[in-house]
Amino acid sequence: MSKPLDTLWYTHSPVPTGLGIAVQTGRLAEAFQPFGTNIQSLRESTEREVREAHYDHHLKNSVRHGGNIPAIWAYASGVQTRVLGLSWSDEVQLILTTAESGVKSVRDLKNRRFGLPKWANVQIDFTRAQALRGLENALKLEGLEVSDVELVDYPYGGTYSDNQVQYVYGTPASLGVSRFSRRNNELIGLLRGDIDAIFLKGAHAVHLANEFGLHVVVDTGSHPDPLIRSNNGTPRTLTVDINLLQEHFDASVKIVDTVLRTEQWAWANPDETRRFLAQELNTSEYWVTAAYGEDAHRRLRTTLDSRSIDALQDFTDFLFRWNFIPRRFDVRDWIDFSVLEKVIGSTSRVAV
Amino acid sequence: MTHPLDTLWYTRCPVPTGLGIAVQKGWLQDTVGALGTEVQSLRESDDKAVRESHFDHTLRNSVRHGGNIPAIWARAQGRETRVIGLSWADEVQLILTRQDSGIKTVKDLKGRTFGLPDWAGAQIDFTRAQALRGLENALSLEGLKVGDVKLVNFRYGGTFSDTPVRNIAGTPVTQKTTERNLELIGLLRGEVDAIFLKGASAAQQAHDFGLHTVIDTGAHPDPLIRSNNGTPRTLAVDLNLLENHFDVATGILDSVLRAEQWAHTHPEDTRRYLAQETNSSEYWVTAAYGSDAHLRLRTALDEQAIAALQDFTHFLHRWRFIPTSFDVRQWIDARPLEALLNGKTALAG
Repeated sequence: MSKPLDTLWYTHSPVPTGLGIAVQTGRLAEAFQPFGTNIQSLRESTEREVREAHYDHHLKNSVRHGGNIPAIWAYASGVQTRVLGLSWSDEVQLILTTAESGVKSVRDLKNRRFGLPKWANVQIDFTRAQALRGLENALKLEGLEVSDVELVDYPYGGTYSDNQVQYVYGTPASLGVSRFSRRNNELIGLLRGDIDAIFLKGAHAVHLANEFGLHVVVDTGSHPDPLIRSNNGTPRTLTVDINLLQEHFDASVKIVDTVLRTEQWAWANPDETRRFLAQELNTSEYWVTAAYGEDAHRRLRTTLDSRSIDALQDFTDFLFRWNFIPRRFDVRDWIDFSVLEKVIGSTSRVAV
Repeated sequence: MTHPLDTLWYTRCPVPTGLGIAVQKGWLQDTVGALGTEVQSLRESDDKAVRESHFDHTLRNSVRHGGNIPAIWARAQGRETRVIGLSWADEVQLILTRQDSGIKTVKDLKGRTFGLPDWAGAQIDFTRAQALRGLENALSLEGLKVGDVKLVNFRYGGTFSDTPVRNIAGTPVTQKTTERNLELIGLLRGEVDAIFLKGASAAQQAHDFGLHTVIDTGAHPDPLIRSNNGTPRTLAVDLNLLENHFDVATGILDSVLRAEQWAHTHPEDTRRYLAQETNSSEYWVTAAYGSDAHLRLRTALDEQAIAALQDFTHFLHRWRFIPTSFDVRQWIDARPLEALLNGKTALAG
């Protein structure tokens, strides 16, 4: 190792990621064990300040694999991070309405009310940004704009980091959830008939749509154009802070190497992978398949391909246009290719 | 044995059952296969009349492990079935309300509206019966009666057997029907003040919408308060199978007991299986059935389960879900279980 690393902080979103499965299978811990590096889960910390690094990436010697919105925001806000890889697991991204709303197609959304979450106290409201992205991309397909619909805010108190996460049988569960915590406010608004449509994505979206017999207006997650599909999870970013990259280059290599090997393992083990994904998402294996496809295991692939980079740039521009981030930047300046090149150069075609 | 049985029809509810695991592991197929009998899944049939036998138990040479309401109803209708085992896996049974309803405890339900499902087209509306049971039992703890709340019906069209069950990723799923969770929607809309939901989906929905749990009758110390559609579950066969193919009936029970013994030493695998069977996450399985869910799979014929089944049968009669009440002991046939316990038999895996 370039320099001994005492502690590596890691975090991943509760979504399909190579890093998540590397943690679940014990591969990350195994990889660092020979170097005496202590592996610490950031979201399981008792300190809110540490947990918040999942969103603002302020922690030294940390790696994060997950939705790109917090990562883009942190970099745009001046936090020195680098992208080491991008993974693209297409997932359902649904504009949903009720049967009685009369909305059948995207065109019918014109002049209708669309519910958006609004987390007033958070540093970066990725839930709002991703819903707005889904809406804008859907409307674009019919030559409409966001201003053609009436936006209705559904406010949430607190922040995303208020509760300590604890893994229960492989599932990240929030501890100390307030008795009065509100969830799915837009969905409740939709069911009450207060609004006409909402955005939901992933396994929970298909599950909830099924549970309440909701009508899918469009699934932008299955559109042929990757820029229409691009959103918080497409692509997901694998990022480290600059200190880890510069002072512990070998550790950075180890991380990417472990993620890639884990993904190769997943391709050959669909059944076990589906179970890991179901645990990570706290949903059933059936809904994993419905949201991420029968080939969910094959969708775990971390690279730095130009399609993902272009989509990341397009999405960064979107976030700036909607004032979610303070400045626009060139994502190629943010990406470090050297680690992936080193890993692929030295471990291509390695046995899993 | 007169001659080998060609086909055994089996069915189980999408809930924790030993029969479900025995099917999933292939042990039911192996055990009765050794007797020259093939097995067929009733709920996956293309024929609605066959699927409906999950509820009315009309199919000859069939076994069913699941909620007791349809089984009790079929028996009360005069169907010649016999219970050869009872399993009791306690699960959450929740009376739920919105945070802003003002209802904190059972006492607060007095004078409030309570939403009940109403499947008018079904032969036996087990969803309504179990919700009413949960409500009545909850109210009884505070000296209240169902008459003290205002019942609101949420009408569903169709029947429970309209579409075949398909098996996807180990999960039994049915095609989408148009109406779902109408009482929950009614609660969220403020049309009613409280509803009843049970099992893993109840735990998840309560969490998903930040609902307040007024009471979990499934966690009450008195087994009669906990007794409901799933407590106990019945393992039932038709009389023809029992009389003419006793070895098959015994073989079924043997594979069920074997599956349950396997479960007791395989908590991880069992939890995954239960998650698939209930189409829920492992986390919500644990929330609804406990971290000892694997130990709760136990089929026997013990006194507590029989007494609870009797109490619940009276309940169903009192509320006119069944035309007559009956002595459940007359319905139980302990011979297969005794044969297995005494013999410990060549059938044991």
